[in-house]
Amino acid sequence: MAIIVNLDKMMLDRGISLLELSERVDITPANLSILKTGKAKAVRFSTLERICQELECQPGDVLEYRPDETV
Amino acid sequence: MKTSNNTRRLWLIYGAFVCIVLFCATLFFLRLVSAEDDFLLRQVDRSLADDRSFVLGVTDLPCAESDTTHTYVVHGTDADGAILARVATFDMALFSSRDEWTDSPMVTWTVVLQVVGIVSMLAIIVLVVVLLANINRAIRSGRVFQWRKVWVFRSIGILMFLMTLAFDTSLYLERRTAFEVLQSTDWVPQVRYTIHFTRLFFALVILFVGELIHIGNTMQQEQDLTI
Repeated sequence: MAIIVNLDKMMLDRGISLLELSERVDITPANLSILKTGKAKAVRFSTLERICQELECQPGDVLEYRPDETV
Repeated sequence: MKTSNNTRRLWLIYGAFVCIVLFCATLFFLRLVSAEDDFLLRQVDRSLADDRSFVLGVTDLPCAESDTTHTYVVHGTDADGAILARVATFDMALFSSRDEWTDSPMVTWTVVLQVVGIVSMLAIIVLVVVLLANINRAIRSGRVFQWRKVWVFRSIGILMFLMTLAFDTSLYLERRTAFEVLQSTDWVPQVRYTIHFTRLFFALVILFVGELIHIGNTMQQEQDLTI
């Protein structure tokens, strides 16, 4: 997929673990892991909003478009 | 509430289907309904005590264009009464000890095609049982769309096509053999290839349902992977 999820970079920058972020965003660690590893097919705006709120960032910091890359 | 109503409806339809199947099976095993091959099965029993082999049996052979009719006199108040009975179809059982019939390639191919048809039919029955078990599990778990069901539906559809082709071709060969045997008699059958369109249509419907489940499964996977 050409949309890359940079969630792992943002989590490292903010010093927050997967388990902690999943509890704050109110989704399961399994689902957050699916999102982090780029296996998700779609993201709800409500989920993206909560992630950006907790990580204090913009959607563009979490999502990136690279047309020639597949993950 | 909406989800439990859907589940209740599914259980109702599933239960009705199982009841109908069990009811028909009970009627059949209690001999309250008979199979159309009853006549042939009785001839096979008779042939076991005979020197001649039972070579071929055909039911519902249509008569040729020149109708075979019989006239019966009605006894009663009306002395001039008569019944004209027209024979449109008949059953035939061929017994012979001659090699011409027992080794005939047409008879051999008829048997081979019937075996193929019967094996397909048995496979369909097994797959239907598997499907019913899967539906049972699917209703409990709430996951209706599964890849296994797609495979089962596609297999049933293809086997139904194969079964129809095998049985229809064997029926044609039986009629050809019957024609050759009976061509010098009054009971000359028609030789034509009959296609059971109902079975073919049903096979298409099953394949279509399989594709619908495939689409539903893809959509469900996307839904599951939407965070």
